[in-house]
Amino acid sequence: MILSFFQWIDTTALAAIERDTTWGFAITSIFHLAGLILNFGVVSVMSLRLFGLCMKNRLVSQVAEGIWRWSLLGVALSLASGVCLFTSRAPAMYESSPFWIKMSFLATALIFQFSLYRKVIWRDDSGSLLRGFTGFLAVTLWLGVGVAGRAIGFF
Amino acid sequence: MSLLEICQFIENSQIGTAIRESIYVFPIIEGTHVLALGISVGAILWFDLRAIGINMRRQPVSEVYAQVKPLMIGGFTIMFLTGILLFWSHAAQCYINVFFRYKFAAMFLAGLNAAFFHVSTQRSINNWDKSPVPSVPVRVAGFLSIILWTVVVAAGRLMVYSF
Repeated sequence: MILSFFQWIDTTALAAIERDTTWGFAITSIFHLAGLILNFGVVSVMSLRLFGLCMKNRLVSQVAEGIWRWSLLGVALSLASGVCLFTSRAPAMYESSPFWIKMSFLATALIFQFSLYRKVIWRDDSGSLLRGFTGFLAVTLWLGVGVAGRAIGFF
Repeated sequence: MSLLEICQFIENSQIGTAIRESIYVFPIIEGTHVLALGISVGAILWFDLRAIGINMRRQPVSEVYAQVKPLMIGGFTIMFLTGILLFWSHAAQCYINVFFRYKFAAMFLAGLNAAFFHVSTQRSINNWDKSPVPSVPVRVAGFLSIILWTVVVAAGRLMVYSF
């Protein structure tokens, strides 16, 4: 059923733009990179604060205020462009192990971002162990998305 | 020997060939190069957003800079090392690649922008350091930085379409 859905995607106009034009995939992938840089950049900064390694004179919630909307923007950009990139080779993605690993990491990262992460970064009274764990999980999950995503192109 | 011949020599070296023909080594180096963009360019972006006055406005610009400097240094070290290895494996192809040339031109200009920013705005730093929205030269430097690094990233991504 999933396979036939992926095969249907392959017939859409969006898929044609991404797959058959010279610049469709190229430009979309630049937006995907931009979203990655934006999100991973601010998540790295937030994690450093959660580890207590930078901006120690600022409350955790103050740093959260500085990163949250940029993280959302980065994720939105990557999700939108990611869907477009996906349409360019949907049937092939069905067969791709890295693709499914990436989707697993992505789902976990998104659930984490809007549950535990959001709770911890907007509070100033969490213990350092919880903060450290949250920061570590954030970097690890998004790194997992990135590594698996890069592997799609190679394997 | 011309620059192209030097690049061909580098590309055809044992190490260059080994990296280029590897199953895992090249993907790992290339993947690290792309993912470290998040740390390196991400850190620059974090500072630039402060410099143009739209983020972390209650924090002095110099403080934001001091805090991301380790990320910038670490990130760019990774970019530099992986970049050298990538170039080593495809030196001649990179040399004749028009997007590679744009990438390096944009990086050079970004470096000039950063140097100019440090030199010219340091003198007046006490005037604008704590302002939520810094003075015009600082904001211009921030905008230019964002634009130039976007060009670097885009050109790097497009390189594969000119090989």
